[in-house]
Amino acid sequence: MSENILEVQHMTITLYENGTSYKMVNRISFTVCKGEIVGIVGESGCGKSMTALALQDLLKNHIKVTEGSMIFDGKDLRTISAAERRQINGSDMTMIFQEPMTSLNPLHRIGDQVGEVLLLHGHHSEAEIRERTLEALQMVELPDPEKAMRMYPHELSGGMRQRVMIAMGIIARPKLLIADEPTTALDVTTQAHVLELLKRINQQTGTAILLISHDLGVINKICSRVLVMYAGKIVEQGRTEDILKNPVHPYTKGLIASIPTRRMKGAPLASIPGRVPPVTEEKPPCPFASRCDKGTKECFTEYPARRTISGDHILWCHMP
Amino acid sequence: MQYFVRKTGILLLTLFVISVVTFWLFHIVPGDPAAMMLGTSASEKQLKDLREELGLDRPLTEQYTDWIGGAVHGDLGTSINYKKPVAELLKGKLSITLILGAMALALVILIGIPLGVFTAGRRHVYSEQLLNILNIFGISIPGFFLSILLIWIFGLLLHFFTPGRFITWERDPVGFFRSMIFPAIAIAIPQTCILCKYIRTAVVDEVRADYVRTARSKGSTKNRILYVHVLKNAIVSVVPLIGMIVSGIFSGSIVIEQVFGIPGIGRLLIASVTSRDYPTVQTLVMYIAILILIVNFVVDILIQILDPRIRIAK
Amino acid sequence: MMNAGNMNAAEAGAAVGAKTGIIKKKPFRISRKKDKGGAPVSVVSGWTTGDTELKVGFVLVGIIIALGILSIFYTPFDVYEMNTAVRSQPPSLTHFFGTDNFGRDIFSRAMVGARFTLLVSGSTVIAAAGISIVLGLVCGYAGGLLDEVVMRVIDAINSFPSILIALVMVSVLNYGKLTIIPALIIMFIPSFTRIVRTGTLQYKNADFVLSNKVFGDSDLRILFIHILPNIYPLLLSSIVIGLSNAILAESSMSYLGLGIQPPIPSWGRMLKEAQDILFSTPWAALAPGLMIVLTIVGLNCIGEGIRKKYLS
Repeated sequence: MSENILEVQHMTITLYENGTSYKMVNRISFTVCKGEIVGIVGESGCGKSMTALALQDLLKNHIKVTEGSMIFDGKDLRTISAAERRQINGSDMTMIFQEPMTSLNPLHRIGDQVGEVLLLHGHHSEAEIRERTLEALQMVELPDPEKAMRMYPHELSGGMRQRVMIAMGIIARPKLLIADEPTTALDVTTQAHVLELLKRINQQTGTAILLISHDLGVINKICSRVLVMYAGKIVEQGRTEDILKNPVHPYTKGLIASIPTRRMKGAPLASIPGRVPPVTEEKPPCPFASRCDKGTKECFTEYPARRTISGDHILWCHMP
Repeated sequence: MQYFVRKTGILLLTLFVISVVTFWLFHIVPGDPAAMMLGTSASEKQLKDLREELGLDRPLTEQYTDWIGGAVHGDLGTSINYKKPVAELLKGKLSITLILGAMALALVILIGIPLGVFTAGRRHVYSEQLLNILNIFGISIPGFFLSILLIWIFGLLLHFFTPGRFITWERDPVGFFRSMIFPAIAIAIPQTCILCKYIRTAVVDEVRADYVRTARSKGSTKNRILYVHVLKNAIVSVVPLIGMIVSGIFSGSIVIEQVFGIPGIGRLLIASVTSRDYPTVQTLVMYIAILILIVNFVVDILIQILDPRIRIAK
Repeated sequence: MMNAGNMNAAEAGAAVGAKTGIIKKKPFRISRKKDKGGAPVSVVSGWTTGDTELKVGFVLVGIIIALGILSIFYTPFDVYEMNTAVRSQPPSLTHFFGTDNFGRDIFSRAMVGARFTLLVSGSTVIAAAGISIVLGLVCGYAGGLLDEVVMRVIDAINSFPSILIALVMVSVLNYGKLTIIPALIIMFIPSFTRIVRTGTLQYKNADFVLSNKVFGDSDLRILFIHILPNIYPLLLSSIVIGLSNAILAESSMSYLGLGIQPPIPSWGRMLKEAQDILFSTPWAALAPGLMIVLTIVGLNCIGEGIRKKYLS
């Protein structure tokens, strides 16, 4: 394993509301190696988006990182100055979001928005910015990049807008690109294209990617490693093939089982009984305990310790 | 381009309709204008003479074309009150009203926008409450009361200007400015409050937008986000309001000119209405209507230029 | 912003409708709009709920109404009597707001002014609202040519400053005590009609309306029993604000000498007279001005309160 570009240790994200605090993400730890594609999968509300936002310091006012550390490229993201943070965001670590329509300024042209990244980082001449913007737009396979540069966001389709966002994310040649549900708002064919694009960028430039999704299929397509999150905790992590072929955690098993396949045709859809607990609800130490069919008393009293199944495959569960 | 043509066409059509309506209002509704002017004690012969003189015994359509034809050539009828051609009465007064309006508009924009942006940032409870209260008062005070207060404080007590005495630009530019600034302030205050509140809401809304998050994710500085992203979008969303504000400035100036004694078309309008000087009123109403239409037209074009989303939709 | 308001009109309309017993069936509920983080949507004015505004507003307006009603039976001094012995007196314990240059007690005149202003404004707004409701419902529901024509006319009237319309009407109809009333009514019909029409448009294709139609409800019934209660709150808020505008307009017209005629006191007229004697008797402007401001502020508060409480 080559060195880590991102190391998160025991990170906790807390929500403050009406005088009480709730943990949205509870002491999670994970790493991302240079040039790796890592996925975080989980249902809505499990805290995966929060994790991504926390890395870029984009959390809203009443949500804060209260514990743990995030080390990016050797720097502690929690203690860097505002200027350093502005330096990192957009150049070394970039992010693309779920909703490309609202994430782009409707009044600015595409070329300006993508080029703005270079305006903000480093001193580039106008000609250089223009050249690199074209290069980035070409890399994301926008048809006719020259024309696209002068267009406005509402003139493009959803897939094209997402490509623009990716262009924004790679133009500064970042070390880490965080993709928060980049394909959720797109149709299936476009989804596939965008994912292939991300994989190609990773191969060509060596940019590490942290991909966040609720869709295992999406994760499976390009991620070499995956983290399974539930209600603010990572319950299982490992190489994608391992997780998919040998899921150990009951939640992971349930997730995989609930993917409809041709074999299940005609049979009722499998689902995990119960529902995801909201942030404000009290949870047992293992948050999945109340929905788990294998739970024992231990699950309700003590948080399971980290267990290595094999190599990269790590599990947090009391059950064998 | 097609859009321009269409819009101009609608503008002209509306002008036509307004001219017809105005004509109808002032010639048909009041009954016999001759009787209006001469009073009930006039003899039949006097009435008939007057009607002939005014051309009232000719068919309506002919009267209308006469009026329009005359207007296009600069003959806007003769004022009953002042016994002068209306066009002459308007000279000088129109420019004063326009200058007053422009001053007020400048105040509204130059104070309203920065104030709105400034207050959007301050989210502390007390200052917000205070601002809300000031805002409510700003739009609740009737223009004429505000004017009276200003006259009393700045005119009578502090002697910044002499109430009732209007100094023309030719005679003394500084005196002119002094006479005009307070009416402009009186007109501007309620509109400034409206604009300020609107901008504040617009800025707060924009700040919460996703693209601001994207900008922060790109490593943008706070100032840049404010000016390049938030402010631009907020102002664009406010442009339609400008039409309303200008309309408000017009109506404000009508009454406030009267209070301060500024010889503009607002005061002329009031005087003519009070003295039933129909030709003058008619012309003034048309003038104001035209001005308002032009302003709305300009605002529409402005929106087209500023907001690419609307532009392309056409 | 308008959309958020209308979407919740149903909920509020149900509340108001249920209270007044007009609707017997329960219209379906539309959920409140909330932000992803759970923060209230209206952040700028989110510090106070509608309650404070309502309380303040009702107190202010209540005082004025009380004074107006009281003036019917009792005023500290006779309103028309001129008493040169006490003229131009500053405010004191006997004359709360002093006397004018004719020796008339300003406070008493202001009370009577309150009565007339409220009467005139109130009646015009109610009349305008009545006409607008009918017009708006019909236009919105029927659509077609009628709708187009009426809306164009209304748009045209709307784009002009209201004072101009009032002036035009007054000059055309020969001003007198009562001319001001039709002038004001015409001023307000456009905005009210627009609101009613927009609301009607929103609901005329709603599921519960269509299902009632299928069940055979007559159009009239649908309009008044199903659609109207849902439009209630927005209309109410506009009526209140319309009232404050009416008072503003009426006093402006009186100030110009084109409204309520002397010797009947009206706030606008009193202010004009006060301006003439401003140098010697500055307090003459205090009573009418203050009362106008308080009334308008009070009404605006009530309007804001209704908007906040039921529409966001």
